[in-house]
Amino acid sequence: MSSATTLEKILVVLMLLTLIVSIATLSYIATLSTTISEIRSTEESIRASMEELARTLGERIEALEEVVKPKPIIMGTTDKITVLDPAKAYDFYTWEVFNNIGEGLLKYKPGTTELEPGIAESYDVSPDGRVYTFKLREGLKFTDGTDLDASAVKYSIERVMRLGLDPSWLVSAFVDAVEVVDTYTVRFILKKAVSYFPALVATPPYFPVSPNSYPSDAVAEPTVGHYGPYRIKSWVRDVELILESNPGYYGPPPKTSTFIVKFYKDASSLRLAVEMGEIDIAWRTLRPMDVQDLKSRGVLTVEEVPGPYIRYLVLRCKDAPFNDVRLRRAVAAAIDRKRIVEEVYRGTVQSLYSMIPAGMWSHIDAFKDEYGERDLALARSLLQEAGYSEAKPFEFELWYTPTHYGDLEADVAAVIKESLEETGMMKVTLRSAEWATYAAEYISAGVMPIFLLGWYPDYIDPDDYTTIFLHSEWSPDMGVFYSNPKMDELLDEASIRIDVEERTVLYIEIQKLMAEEAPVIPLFQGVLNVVFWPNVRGVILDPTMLLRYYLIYKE
Amino acid sequence: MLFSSIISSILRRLKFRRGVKYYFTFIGFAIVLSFVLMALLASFISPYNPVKRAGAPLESPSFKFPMGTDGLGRDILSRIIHGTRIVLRITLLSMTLSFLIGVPIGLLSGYLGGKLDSVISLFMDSLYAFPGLVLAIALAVMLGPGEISMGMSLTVVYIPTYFRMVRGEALSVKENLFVEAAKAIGAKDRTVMFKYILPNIIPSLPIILSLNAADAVLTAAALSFIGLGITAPTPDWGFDLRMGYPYLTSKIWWPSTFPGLMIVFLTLGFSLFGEGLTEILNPRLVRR
Repeated sequence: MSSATTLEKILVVLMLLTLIVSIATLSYIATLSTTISEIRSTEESIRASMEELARTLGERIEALEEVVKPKPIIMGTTDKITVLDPAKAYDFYTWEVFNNIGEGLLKYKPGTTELEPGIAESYDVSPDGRVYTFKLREGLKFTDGTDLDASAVKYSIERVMRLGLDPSWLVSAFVDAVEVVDTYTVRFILKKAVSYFPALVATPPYFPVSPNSYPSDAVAEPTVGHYGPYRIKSWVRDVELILESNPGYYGPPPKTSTFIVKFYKDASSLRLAVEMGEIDIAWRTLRPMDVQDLKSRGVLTVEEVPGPYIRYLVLRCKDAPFNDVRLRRAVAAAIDRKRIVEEVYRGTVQSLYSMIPAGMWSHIDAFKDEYGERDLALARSLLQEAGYSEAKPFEFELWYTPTHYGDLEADVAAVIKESLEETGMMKVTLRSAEWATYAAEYISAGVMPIFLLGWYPDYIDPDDYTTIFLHSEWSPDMGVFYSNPKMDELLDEASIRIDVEERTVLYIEIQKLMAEEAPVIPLFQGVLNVVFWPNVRGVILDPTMLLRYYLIYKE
Repeated sequence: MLFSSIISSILRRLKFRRGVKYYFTFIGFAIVLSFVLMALLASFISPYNPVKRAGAPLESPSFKFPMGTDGLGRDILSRIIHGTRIVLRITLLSMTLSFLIGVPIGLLSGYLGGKLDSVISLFMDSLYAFPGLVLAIALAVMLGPGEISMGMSLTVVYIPTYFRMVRGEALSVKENLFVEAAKAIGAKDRTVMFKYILPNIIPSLPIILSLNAADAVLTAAALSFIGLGITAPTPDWGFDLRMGYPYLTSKIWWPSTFPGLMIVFLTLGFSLFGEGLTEILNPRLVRR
């Protein structure tokens, strides 16, 4: 008993002590705060003078550097080189590297989707559209010293077809055979007439590589054996890639002789690096919020163009509920694209009203023409027609995948749910699955009635944005299961015609039909952002999504 | 029977021991209790609907929105209040299941011994040796997203802790004279296990329960953070933390700070409670 009371006494004393101590600390802090503000102001003035000192010093050093050596351009990215072999690489960043260290028979004119001669000087198409004959430039050599001639082209194309890896279909689905006509003439015989074959030829799987550096039956990653404006000086995977100008290049030499690419692990460190001036250019991918921030600060230049990357909803058209076109149209009418663009992506993407992205020839705002920006009244009347009401709402599951498309995907799904439920006659349950399951199992098995998906093009042509989703032969692969003989006919016709104007008319018709039937609902289109210091020139963004390092220089 | 034995042992010991941790117990208990109340009364006390837009996106904390709004204009306070439900439900589910599975297996294994014991122990030890979060991630990927599957994956993670604890205690308790006596008068194995050994182990269990709960809150938040948890737009702390942190570089701190603080508080509550209970129920540890 007595011990207990002693303990209690001690406790009371302890509590009093803590009380006193805390009161003392608080009053001390109060007096401190005035001192702190004084310290701060002195600190500020010191910092200002230090900054001035640094600036003058920096200017001196810069002036010295200018005398001593030419400035390389340093670019940062969060992308990775997956595999340095055109027969295996099937991702945008690696393709970008190939476009700088390599070149196709044809290439895109920077800033456009027009093609111009590359390694080939000129080409002919046979009247039936099945035979393409390319005349190569003479006397070119790969960076390993091997001659770049017709047999090297034949070797490269056949190698891609033989290896049968991820991008091989881009060749093997179209090319039947490659023939060497003479040393500098090569002939492609196609399986069927394909009007966008020139666009295919401009993709890395068609790039010639040296037979002496790339073995014919295995994937390899040599740093020589390409032919393009730059050659690789050194490469440390996921750390750094140093390019230098290729003296044997036929065209004008790169504007900057040394171009360095630094690979960053995440968007935050990339942002810091460009802000601190560690790198001159920050390329894919900064977070939307960061881009907006940098833009508002005004120190760095932020450029954006519509990109070829699109996001959309897929509706499973083969069975209930979305075999009913009225329900598909109701969803299409109720979607609130503006909220996704403005709230989730803070204006760093743009609304998309067709599967063919804005900026590409033949694009029309088909869904906007059909449904307006958003038409809740139309959605409600369509739902009513289909037998639903407020009391008996249309209930369905909408799927998304939480990480593959970035951090914001869950928010996109949440906004879509909310906007559909604003009709008062839909009840949406969100479901999610990891990308591996989502892509490999659920999509083509038709597990998901309606789901979010994204598309990067393989070749820059409207065909790549339409046939795979809308043609009855391919659409089951994408989980659409859409089949309409009229659509098939239009798509087939458009892929054969060579004349761009004739094709445009066909693609416009295709887009109108697509908006009416709504088997897929386009949501938004990526905007490409590149952030760089104002003294950097020649950054040309175009819908191919590829940055051309050889046009960039510093002033 | 279980409850009365726990409570009576707590009460018995409270009279004698009043260390600093004695007060921790109550602070911890108060924190946990207030979260439980928050969860139960969520629909009454939350000012807005947690899954509907309430104001402009990313509004800073004000009288209208005490914790600000998130990227989609939803009230963060309401999301936090409703998020309590999810986290407590998952914790409760995983704790109950792992308790119900871990304790009997541990008792059986410890009491019976022999080959069965070594096989089960080996299995449980290998499970225990795995880092909890990694195991939970692997299971969550297999089971897919959702409250139940999150609860399940956490259950598997925490079964070994109960097993090891109960088995160890059973091994020492079964050597006691009263167990011999019970066997001598012909008591069945079942009776010995549940009437003689279990009551002697029970008082130690709330400690494990509470400490595991603290850990489970963190693991559940981590699962949600990496996108393996609840499906959007259900409010969930880990998920909200994830959606909020990209804004940090732009000096928008509220969407991630508040959910983060809540995770800290609830974990702290469970830990303090568990630590305090150790002091009260397991005086042997303290005297050492």
